[in-house]
Amino acid sequence: MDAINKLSIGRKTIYYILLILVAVYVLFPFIWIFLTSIKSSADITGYPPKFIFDATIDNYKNLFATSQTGAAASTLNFPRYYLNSLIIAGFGTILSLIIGCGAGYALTRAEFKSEASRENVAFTLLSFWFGPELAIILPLYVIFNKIGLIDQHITLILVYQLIGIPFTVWMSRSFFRDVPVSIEEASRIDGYTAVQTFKKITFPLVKSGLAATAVLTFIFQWNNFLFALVIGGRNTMPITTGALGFISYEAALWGQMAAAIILSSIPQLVLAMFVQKHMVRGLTFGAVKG
Amino acid sequence: MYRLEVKNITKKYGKLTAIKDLSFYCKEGETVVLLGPTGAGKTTTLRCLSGLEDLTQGEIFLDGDNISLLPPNKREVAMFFENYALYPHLTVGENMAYPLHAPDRKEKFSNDEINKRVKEVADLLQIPELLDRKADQLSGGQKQRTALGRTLVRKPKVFLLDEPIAHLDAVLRHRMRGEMKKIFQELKCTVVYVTHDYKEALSIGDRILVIRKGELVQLGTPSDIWSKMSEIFVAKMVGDPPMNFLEGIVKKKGDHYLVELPKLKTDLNFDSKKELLNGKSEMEVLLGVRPTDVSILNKETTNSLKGKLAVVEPISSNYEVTIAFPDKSTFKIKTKKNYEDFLDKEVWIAINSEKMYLFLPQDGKAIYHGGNF
Amino acid sequence: MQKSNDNKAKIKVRLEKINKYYYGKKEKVHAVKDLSFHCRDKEFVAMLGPSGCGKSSTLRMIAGLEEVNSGSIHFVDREVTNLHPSKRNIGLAFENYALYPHLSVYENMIFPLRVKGIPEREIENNQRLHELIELFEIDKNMLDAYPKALSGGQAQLTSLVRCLIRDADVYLLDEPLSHMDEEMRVRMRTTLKMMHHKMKKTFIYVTHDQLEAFALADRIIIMNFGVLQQAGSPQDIYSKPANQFVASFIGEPPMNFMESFLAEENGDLLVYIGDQKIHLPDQFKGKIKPDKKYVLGIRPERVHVSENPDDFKESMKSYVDIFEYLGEVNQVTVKLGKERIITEIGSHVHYKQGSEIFVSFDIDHMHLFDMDTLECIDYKFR
Repeated sequence: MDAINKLSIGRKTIYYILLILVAVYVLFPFIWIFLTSIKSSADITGYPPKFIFDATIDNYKNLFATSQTGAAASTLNFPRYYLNSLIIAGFGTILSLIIGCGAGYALTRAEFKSEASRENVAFTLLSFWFGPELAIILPLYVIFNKIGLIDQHITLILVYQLIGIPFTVWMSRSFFRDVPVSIEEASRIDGYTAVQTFKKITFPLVKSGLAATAVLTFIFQWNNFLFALVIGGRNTMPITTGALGFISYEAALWGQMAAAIILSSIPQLVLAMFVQKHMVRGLTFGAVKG
Repeated sequence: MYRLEVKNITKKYGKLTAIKDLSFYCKEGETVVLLGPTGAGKTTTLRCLSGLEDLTQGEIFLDGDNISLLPPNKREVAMFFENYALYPHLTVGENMAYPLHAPDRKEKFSNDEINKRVKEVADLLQIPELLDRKADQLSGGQKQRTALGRTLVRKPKVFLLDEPIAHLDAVLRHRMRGEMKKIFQELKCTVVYVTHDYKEALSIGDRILVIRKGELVQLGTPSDIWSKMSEIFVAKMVGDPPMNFLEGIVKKKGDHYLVELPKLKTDLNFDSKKELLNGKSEMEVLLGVRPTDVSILNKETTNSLKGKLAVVEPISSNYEVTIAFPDKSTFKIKTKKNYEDFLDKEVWIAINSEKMYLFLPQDGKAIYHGGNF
Repeated sequence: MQKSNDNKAKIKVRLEKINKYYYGKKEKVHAVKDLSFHCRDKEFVAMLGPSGCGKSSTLRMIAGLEEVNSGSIHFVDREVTNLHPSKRNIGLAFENYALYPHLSVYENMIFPLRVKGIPEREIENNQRLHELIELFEIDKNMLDAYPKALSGGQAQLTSLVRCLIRDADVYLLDEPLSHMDEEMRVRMRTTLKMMHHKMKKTFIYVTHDQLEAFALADRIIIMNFGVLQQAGSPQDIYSKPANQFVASFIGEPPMNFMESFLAEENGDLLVYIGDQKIHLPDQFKGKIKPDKKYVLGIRPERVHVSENPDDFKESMKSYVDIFEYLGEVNQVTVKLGKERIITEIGSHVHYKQGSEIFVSFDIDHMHLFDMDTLECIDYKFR
């Protein structure tokens, strides 16, 4: 804001126009999807696209209707997908947090041979996150198939740890690192055990950071497509792959698909708003201090 | 029985030895200062006493009980951290009450008692109005007092203080030095105090332990450290500006001694009750003279050195004068008088032989302490 | 000091009504307010003040690194307010060194000479280069090292030499010794003063360390909150402070301040500290209002103590609050009413804590400060 305040009124206007253009550009797909979700199918496919039309919530109703119209829809079960996503991403996040934050804490406190080796270990963990999912997906499929774990919730929860844990380790580490070791030591000398110290001092200082970590982990797992496509099955299909079902040889249910997308983004939006302040910090991956 | 007794402690980190065979004790109500340069092992020693670091060897006794293996929360010591280590999410009052809430402590405190003690200490440190302020909203001086308060509320058996006033500004540091000394005396605290500032050490310490690379160099009263230093290292640690050193050769001449200063082509005469040469005809030495123990003259006299008055620096009510000798070495003098009129002129500096110190160049050991022996 | 008294020396740098604003998150910060001062040829001027007082901004404006919002800067007769830094012929050394990482210490030092196109052989024989290397005690190993391998102090030293090697009109130094350890800083301070004495050039030096400013400068400019507080020689500032800020900022141990009450009895001015009183010199007559509170300030060396009241013409009864042995001297803090007063005494004299002691002031060195404006009453007539 400092930079903007300093400018003259003319330049300020240009600045704001540019910002609005960027905002429109970024938000356009989302607005388009939202408009599509409240259009009738005739309006959707109409050309030129209509911006004024009779809004309808039929698409949303249809998502939850038991008997659906159209041949493709007979196999679609949106509420089920939604529930699957919630189960997998929800439990997946909890598991990632437990394991990842433990490791993140350890990485800031444990003794290493040198600071370089500490960074190496941390970076190795993070690098799993950069690895292409495609490279490991086939071996994973074969393994889980052999042990008979295909199409079960637990399978996807476990596979999602591949994206969840490296991220929670890295991010929680940046929050734990901001808690000076000396205040934990002070608490030990003040008469508290290590566990009591964690509870009374460390945890209260990192809890908002950990909440942000949890939200981002949840969003990443909620959005995952590839693992869900290959390793998920009929019973465990989450909303990302489920939404694909709206397009088939017979018909493309654009309206319902748009409605499904809007509904599936609601949890992310709500959570993101709660922890907005901490999220930016988290997304810089602790690279920027303070 | 001593309040605190440290017996031959050694601390190693891998191959690095941080503390080597260090022993000392603290009587009840006594303040022992650990004085040394950065990296001398002062803080490590405190951390060993508090239990934050395990000992590699040796034992620590508190009132006769061996506490070497106890975890920090079971030792009855309080520690002041150099960076204050306040709990940022708690208020000043909560920070100070924190040690009293510790669940596993033998003594249990009622809430009333905790409030009473916090109030008492806050009054003592003149911060009662800060009690409800969050710790991360304090100025440096307020943080310092809060941290001090947190160590005081507990009434522990031993206080461990790590550079408690090093990060305050000059005026505040000066004031807190005296105030802390008074508090320790009034509350009869047993204190182990770490500092690199010799004035703090001389002022606060009942005894001072000078430490270098984890090893004890000298342990003595402040006046021992100032005027009966065991080696050149101690002489360099105390004094501002530091002691001047000149290379010389000691010889005996009749019933007195003289130091020949070959680089300055001068001799200085002095007396010693103690035999210095032990049968040898001469011995190389380093002559040490404090900047306050000389006078500046405009003509030659006995025991004087000729040089050019190179720089005059006013420092508060004093002046620091730098004399440049012909061999380009320099000599600092601290005086009340302004010698700016003598700038770039030749002067003689008269050395008081009663205030001369001699050290052996090989190992730095002091062999002569002027009139003090 | 002699140079600043030499009023014939021409003015080298002149600042007139300089203002500088910064834009903070919410408000505009007025960093430098109507600042005017000058420094004469060959003078060493130190700008002193706490962090955020505007001293660094001022130096950066003199260097041309920072825009001036209003006012003007002159070098001799030339106005340089809007001139590019490279055209001002200045030497700069800043707190955070800015060394060229790909060049060795030696190459960094001679960089200004190379830029000028001076042939290598001439540079090697440059007299000032050798003088600087010798005086600042830079050894061969350090000359060959690269900035990455240097300590903060060594890096600052390199940057200081790089600044001094140029033949500039004015040398601008911003906390050039701040990253050195105590011992090195004191040594380099003396060397810098010696170097200034030899070079006979104009220096403007920014520091927050009063001892450094005092030791080095011919004249000191004290600033606070962007406003000039006082300009004068170290001795003037020490013995005749313009206000309580200057008085409290200068001196180690610091000046004693105590709340006092003024009264006029039988034509004499009396100052009460608690229930104890002493006479005030007649100089103050007409300058102050009796029956009013003032802050009384006195430097520690102007306070005298004795167990025997007969040692003084006039004294006040107090108690020894703190007694400190400091090697060279002993320091006594006495308690007079609710006020604490520090004084230094010889290292052979000892007093017991809590014992009764009589304290006396050098009355000609007492200062009175207005409680509201903080201004020093006696500044105007001493």
